[in-house]
Amino acid sequence: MANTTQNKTLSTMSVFTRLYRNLSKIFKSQADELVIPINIKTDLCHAQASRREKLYTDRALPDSLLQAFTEKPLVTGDMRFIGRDEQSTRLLSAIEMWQSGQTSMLAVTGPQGCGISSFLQQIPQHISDQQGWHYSELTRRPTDNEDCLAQLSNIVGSEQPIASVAELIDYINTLPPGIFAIDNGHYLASRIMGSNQAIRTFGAVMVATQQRHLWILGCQEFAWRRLAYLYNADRYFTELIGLTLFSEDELKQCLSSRLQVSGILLNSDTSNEQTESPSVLGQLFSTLYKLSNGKPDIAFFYLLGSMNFNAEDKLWDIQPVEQLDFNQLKQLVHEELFTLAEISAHGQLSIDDHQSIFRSSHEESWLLLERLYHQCLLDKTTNDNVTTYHLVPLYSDVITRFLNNANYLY
Amino acid sequence: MQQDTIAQLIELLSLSRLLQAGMVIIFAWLLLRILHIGLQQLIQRWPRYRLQMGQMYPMLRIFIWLLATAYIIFGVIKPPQTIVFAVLGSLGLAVGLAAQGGVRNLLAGVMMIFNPPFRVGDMVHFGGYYGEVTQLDLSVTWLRTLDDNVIMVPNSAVLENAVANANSGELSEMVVINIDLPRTIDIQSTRLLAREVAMASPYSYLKKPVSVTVESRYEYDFLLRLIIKVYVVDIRLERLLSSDITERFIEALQKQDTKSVD
Repeated sequence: MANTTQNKTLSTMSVFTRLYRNLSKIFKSQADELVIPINIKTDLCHAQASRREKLYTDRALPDSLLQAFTEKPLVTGDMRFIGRDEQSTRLLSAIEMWQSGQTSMLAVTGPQGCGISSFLQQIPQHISDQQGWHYSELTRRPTDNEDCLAQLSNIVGSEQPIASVAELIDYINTLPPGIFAIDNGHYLASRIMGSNQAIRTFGAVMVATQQRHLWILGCQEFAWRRLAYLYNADRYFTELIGLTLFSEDELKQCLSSRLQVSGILLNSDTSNEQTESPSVLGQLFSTLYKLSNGKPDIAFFYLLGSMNFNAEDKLWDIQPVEQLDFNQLKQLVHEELFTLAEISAHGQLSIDDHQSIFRSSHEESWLLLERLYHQCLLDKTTNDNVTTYHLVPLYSDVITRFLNNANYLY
Repeated sequence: MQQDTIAQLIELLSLSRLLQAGMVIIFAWLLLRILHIGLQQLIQRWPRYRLQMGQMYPMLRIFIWLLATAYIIFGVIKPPQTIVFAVLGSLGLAVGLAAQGGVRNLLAGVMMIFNPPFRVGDMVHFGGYYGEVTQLDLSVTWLRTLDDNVIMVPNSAVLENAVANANSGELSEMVVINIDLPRTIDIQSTRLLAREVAMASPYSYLKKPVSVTVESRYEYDFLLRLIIKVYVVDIRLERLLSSDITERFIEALQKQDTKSVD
């Protein structure tokens, strides 16, 4: 009798122990599971370009490493370009169909920083006729019909801007058949009054010349959605190739290939078969994936920030990864969130653009954009005396997800 | 007989039982507070789903209070059937006579829980008022009008009148903007301009279609009415969108006129 009671008590205890273990597993935070420690940094400005440079200089990171981990698009044939096999196959079959005489227009879309430019620049290595390949990128938003014609004339290689749509179409149709890849198509999506006509002209020229040429438009995801909602862009494009952020394996491959290019040996990146535990580098890559959500540029930042060269041992140390804290997004007010949403959808906004969209004064727009810039949520560039603001590339994924969740971006 | 019943009743309502009942009520209230705070946290974290999450609370509240009441009666007080019937009979008669309207509202509230014509967060025309539903109680519904007045509407208004729901659980809703113009305007270009203006507003929800229609009307003179139908990204920005589009449109028309004069 006593034994039975004892057994019952033990069995109840084991049930509770199992329950406790399972609950612990469920509620265990990501950070606890990782061997690589994470420090939380509250300051988003820590990842600003100038501060990053200083950080890397302080850590004495060699130029070869910094060049290997550049955030710039990869040129044709760069060995650091990895993955995208399925998308490449779809793109090549679409090109083959066009070569066999079928009219088509392609769009390559994806979140900012997923590698649309790099993907487009890899196309030439897969096509036989290099002469017919034309890659160009929009540097600014076409403001009106005339500006649109001028930009298109430049893209198709006309020395002088062509004055009318009909003339431009005639000109393009006299060119030898070729593939025109246009990057930064997200500059076309616009709420700015007057740019409607420019977008229609852009589309009309592409549609009217698709019989002879293959147009490939690279465009960020939310801008593409907007083009589809407003202008039914998805109906005109025969193939839509969507890129996503890297999976964990792809990110590991990406980081490994870049480490390899930098000359850092990967001998430590092997799993210990006896203990079946992953190597420190493997764990670091897993941590980086969890922190970056598969976005390469922010993973590079975390990786470089955690690497430290020990001059005495001549070995690389891995320091705790310094995670950025995005809680300040929750402090933003309506107008700031709407501004970020429009910048995210448009790719970039100048002060005049902001003024036009939000019907504010020049000073108000300037003040708001500068405030976001000083909070390190925006970066700015100045070309021809026009300052444009865009999301800090490293944070774009976090910001767009936040805006999407808060119903400012859709 | 009546004295026996009263004696039984007094015996049933002993101090310990009353304390237990009080504990159950406090526990139910605390549980509801926790649920309310938890839901508010969830809403703050996922604002896109605030309407769906907001509609859960009124149902949970009724369910928990029903459970608490049932537990107090059948688990704590445990009255004999005779007392239950006697109390129910007396209460039913008293409440029925004293609060006909209240019971009506209560019944309407129960009906609204199981077959809701609107949810917390919806924009509704209800009981002669238009506004956002901020709270659903068993007998009344609270609305916040566009002028920021809080209105308490008895639920029986649902049984007696029609209810118009502008968004039916979605965050976006259609906003209709009427603009009257002289009949001499160029209809085609003005219609296109109105469409572009509607799409340019940062508060318009571009995922849904924008439409501009024209109708003729007479008000001291023949006029053309431009009807702009556009969805707002969030129901709380309804007035802002309406004002923004009207301002933009008038400005764009003025610019167009200036150009044509030049």
